[in-house]
Amino acid sequence: MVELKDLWLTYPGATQPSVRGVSLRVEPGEFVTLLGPSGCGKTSTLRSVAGLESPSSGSISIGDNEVFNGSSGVEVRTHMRDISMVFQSYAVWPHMTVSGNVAFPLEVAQLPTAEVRQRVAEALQMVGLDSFADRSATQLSGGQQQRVAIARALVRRSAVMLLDEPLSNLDAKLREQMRLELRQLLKTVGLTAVYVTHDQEEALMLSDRIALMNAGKFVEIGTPVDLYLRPRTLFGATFLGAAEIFKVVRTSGTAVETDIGVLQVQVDDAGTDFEHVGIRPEAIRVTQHASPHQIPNQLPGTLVSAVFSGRQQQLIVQLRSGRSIHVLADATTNFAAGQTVYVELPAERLMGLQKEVSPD
Amino acid sequence: MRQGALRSAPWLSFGLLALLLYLVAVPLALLLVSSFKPTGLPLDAGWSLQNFDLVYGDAGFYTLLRNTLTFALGCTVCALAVGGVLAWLVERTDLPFRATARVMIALPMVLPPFLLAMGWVLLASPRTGWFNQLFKDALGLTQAPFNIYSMGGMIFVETLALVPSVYLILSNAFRNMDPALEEAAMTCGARWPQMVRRIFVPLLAPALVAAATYLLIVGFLVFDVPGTLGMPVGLFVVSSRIVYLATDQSGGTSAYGQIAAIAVTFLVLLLALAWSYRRMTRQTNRFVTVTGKGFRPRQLKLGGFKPFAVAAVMLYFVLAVLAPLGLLLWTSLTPYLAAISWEMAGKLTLAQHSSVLSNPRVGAAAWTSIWVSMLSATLVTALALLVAWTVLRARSLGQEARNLIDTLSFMPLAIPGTMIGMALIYVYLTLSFIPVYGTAWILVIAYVTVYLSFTSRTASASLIQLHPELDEAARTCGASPATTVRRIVLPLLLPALAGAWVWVVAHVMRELSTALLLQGDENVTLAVQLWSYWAGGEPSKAAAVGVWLVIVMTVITIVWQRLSARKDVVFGG
Amino acid sequence: MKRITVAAFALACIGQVAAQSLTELAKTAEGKPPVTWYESSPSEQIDKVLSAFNKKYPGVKVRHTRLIGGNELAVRGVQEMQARGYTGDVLTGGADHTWQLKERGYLESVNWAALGVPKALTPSPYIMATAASVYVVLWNTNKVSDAEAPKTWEEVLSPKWTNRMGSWVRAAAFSQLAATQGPDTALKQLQRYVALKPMLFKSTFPLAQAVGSGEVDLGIGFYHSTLPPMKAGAPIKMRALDVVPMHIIYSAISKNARNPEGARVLLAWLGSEAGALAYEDATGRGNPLLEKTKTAQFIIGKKLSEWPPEKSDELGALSEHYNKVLEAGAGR
Repeated sequence: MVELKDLWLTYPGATQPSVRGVSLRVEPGEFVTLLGPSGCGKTSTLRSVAGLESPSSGSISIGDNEVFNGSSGVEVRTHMRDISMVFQSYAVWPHMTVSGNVAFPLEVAQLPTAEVRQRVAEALQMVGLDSFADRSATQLSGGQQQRVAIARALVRRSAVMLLDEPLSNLDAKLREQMRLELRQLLKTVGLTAVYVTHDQEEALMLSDRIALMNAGKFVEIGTPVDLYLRPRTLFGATFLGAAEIFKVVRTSGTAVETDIGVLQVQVDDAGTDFEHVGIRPEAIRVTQHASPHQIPNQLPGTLVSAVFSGRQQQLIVQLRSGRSIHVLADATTNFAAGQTVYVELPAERLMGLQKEVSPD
Repeated sequence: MRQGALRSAPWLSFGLLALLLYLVAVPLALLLVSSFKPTGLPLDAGWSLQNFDLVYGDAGFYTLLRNTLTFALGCTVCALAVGGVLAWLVERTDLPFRATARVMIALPMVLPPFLLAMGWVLLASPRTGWFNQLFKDALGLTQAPFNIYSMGGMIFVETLALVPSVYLILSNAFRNMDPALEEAAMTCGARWPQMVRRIFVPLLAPALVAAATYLLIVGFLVFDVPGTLGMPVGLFVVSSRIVYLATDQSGGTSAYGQIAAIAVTFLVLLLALAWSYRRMTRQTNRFVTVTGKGFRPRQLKLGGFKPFAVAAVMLYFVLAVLAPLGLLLWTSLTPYLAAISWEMAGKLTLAQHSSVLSNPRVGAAAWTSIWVSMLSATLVTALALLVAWTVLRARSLGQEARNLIDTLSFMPLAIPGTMIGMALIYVYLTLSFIPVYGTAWILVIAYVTVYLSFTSRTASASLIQLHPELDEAARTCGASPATTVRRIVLPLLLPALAGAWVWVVAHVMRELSTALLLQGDENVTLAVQLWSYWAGGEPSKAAAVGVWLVIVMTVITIVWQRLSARKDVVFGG
Repeated sequence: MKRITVAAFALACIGQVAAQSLTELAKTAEGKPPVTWYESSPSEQIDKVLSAFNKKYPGVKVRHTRLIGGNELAVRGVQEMQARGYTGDVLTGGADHTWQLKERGYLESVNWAALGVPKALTPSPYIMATAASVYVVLWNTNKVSDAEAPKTWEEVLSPKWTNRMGSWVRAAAFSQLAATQGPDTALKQLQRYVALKPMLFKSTFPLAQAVGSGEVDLGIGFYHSTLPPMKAGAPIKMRALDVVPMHIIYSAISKNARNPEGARVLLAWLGSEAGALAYEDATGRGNPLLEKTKTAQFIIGKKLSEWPPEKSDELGALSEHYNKVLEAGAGR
């Protein structure tokens, strides 16, 4: 439904491009999130799709229409694109009522009044604001204004909805609540959505696919599960969730020599050239006794500290090589600082990481 | 790579550029040509630098510049201070009778400055001034305490005349300030002086600079007050020289070439100011205070200060409105110009008023003034909005094109009214198929050109405070730029635009130099009629016309106040 | 340079012949567009003049356009001639302004004698004297007694008037004085005048108002600009001094005029006693060369002082210099 091909964007007067050759294909009904740190170009990319920024080269298609093409000079203006957008600042118009705001896109499209009224009522009901219809927009709380913005975007039934960090201005509790509501809403309506955020948890919870972005490029694109459990880049492993990273010295077959010792990796990863190996802290198993038979990737170490944090204990273990790693253990086990523990890095949870891969 | 900035420029922006080139670049070009012509008339033969030599080679000119600089800076600082305080009191505190205050502060706009100056002569002239009499009698002084014929007097009166303009710009800015920004500072422990210095001033910087630039240029070029209060004691400013070159220069014609040569300096100055304004506001999101989030500006409780604040506003009102108007009324009732005294009070008569009101020419002039002012105001406000929008929001034009539009819209400020008039005469004499010469329509064109500077600054200062996402949201809802302006930008900017509209109406109704120059036999305005009485030796009739002018403007201003008050409600105020 | 007032009998002689051709001209003029008259008096005043004119020549319509000064007139004339080839039919302005237009070839040569206009009014075939701004001394009767008030220029320059004097911002009186006294003497007189620290006014109208209100005790102004406050009852008196500088106002007919016949009729009438008196009644400015006007009566027997139109350039240079002296010296 939305396709970006090799999009580049340099702002006038800037020395560096903000968006460097990103390509992405969003299928109809899919919810794709652009995730990355501030300044990575995710908002610029989103705004390019909206037509609020003019890319330097590349192409963008929405539905069957090409809305931008750097070489042929096609550039469809924002108001002619089949999109709707929810802004970070909500951008609810203070001089109109709630229903006035929501009705605006339909009025602009010159739909008959009866239909406008009906669709506005529908949209307001979907976001739970039906009793607020005649309230002035300035009399709403932040969360309510956000819902107005969402309703206004929904009412248009466009090919794709663009959302620019819509929840980042809400307080934590509200944010959590709205996250789920939003996903539910969009799935119910069956909209295609491109969502921008820097909040990983949000991205993991809401998206069908995540496009991880850094310094203007897509680093990796994949489903939340794939990206979390099996990232292929160093950035992916460290930005999305936490990870312990070990530098690879040499590989031979399934044995990888790292700076903490030799680790066995999974058969399908064997032979691939990667520079680092990583693992999520929660995937590391820790026991107080060595196991009787030889378990691959079990390393001895000294417990430095164990901190109780409610659901689990957070351990720091210093391995024989000198390196300390974080491990999560269950809450009930008794540990004592200084004791010998054995950590196991299960081969199937080891992630082979490279600096860069082609994102698809 | 981008193929070119104008690849997808819509016709509206191009049309705007073309219109501005026509309105502004043509008089500008004629001005520049005139400065290089020995006779100053663009169609005469020969080129020469003698005008520049005559102007800048004359040592006396630099004395003029020094006086002018003192005067202009003095007015700018004072008007900013007074206007700023008044704007703050009305918009950000719980001052009582705010609606009345707004009208009172705007009223002085309508008085032709030379009547204002004349009124103050009758009040504070050392020999015949009424205030001087009062103070001498009350305090037993031998010397008159006030002398209006001084640099201080000039600055004082001109400040009174300029405050309404400053108030307009700053009150819009104040009204649109998000309290969250100030509250954040307060929770960081900032106290009042720090707040002002580090929060208010920077946030208000675009409005302040817009106001200051306007004041400076006006201060440099204004004539009436320095002419009435400075000339008698030999205090001359640049505008005195310009008027001299236009009307009193010997040699048989006006020395337009020298006027143009002088104007060139101010054009350069103006360009420099415009450039620094643009640099400062380049990061426009720094000044955004109106987002979609809706707020009520914090209102400071004056508490114990309330009576002082009210007194301050009243004092301003007395000095700027009541006193001069009172004198105006007095002058309109005396058979000849005379100081206030019991003796004269016995000779008061309504003869001037009845003569003026029964003069059909006055009626015709009033009608001309009313429709010319309203039409000009409407056209120029619409144009100003378009300019502000294009400069600040239209991405489809390249940055250079937008800078050009911005600069063009600002330039007329530095072109003396006489030069614009002169240019328009040439243009419409030549383009005789546009039957505008000698009619009131040429006045409309002149005024749209002249007042574009102020209104585009006002529109721009207001638009800067509007979060761009408010109109981006409209565009993502399918609204074309035109619809966005009509349904989103215009309603939100309406208070500021309405203020600008009234300002233009007031200024057109009192504008003199251009109207005099373009005078035909069928486009006499009320201001010209007023001046005609004055210059023809009938100051009482001039004062009578002035009184009626003020009455008409008061009505218009009150109507404006009512309309813009309703808009406040929308903002939850 | 004494100008003898007009020989009335000369008028009478030519009168008969002139009257006849004027009627013919008037007839032709009726069929043409209105005569456009560029002149600097307020339109209300000219309305009165024209109604008197139309009593005699009902068919000749005249449209008055007010231009705010001689410079303005000259520039407008040049602009219009250059841009569209014609300007106002009748142009009325100062010597230097009309002379300028003549030098540029924009004026028509007229046989004034055939129109019955006395010779003394027409130093050149291009221009006709219509009125004059005549310098007078005026004083506030509450502050200055009639006996004290100056009768000669020497008395004007007496130091007892220091800080009591008002003046036009232009030193034009002195530049015209130089025509009879010589530039050196006139300059010295100007310097003594400047030593009185006169208060400067944009025009002689506010000057007269200021004398009336007591802002200054006396001043050098014009006859016609002193009349309005006097008539309104202000305590002002005026008199002509021993030498009377003045600026004669000339009228001319432009080339390519739309209604040259009507223009001739109008000017012939203005150059006659009836016309001149009507003009004086309405505007206060009379024609000093026609003895029946009040202006002429006011200056009767005095020595007149003015540069002739041909010497406009010299006058211009002198005026510039004198104006600077006055400006520089002013200031209390």
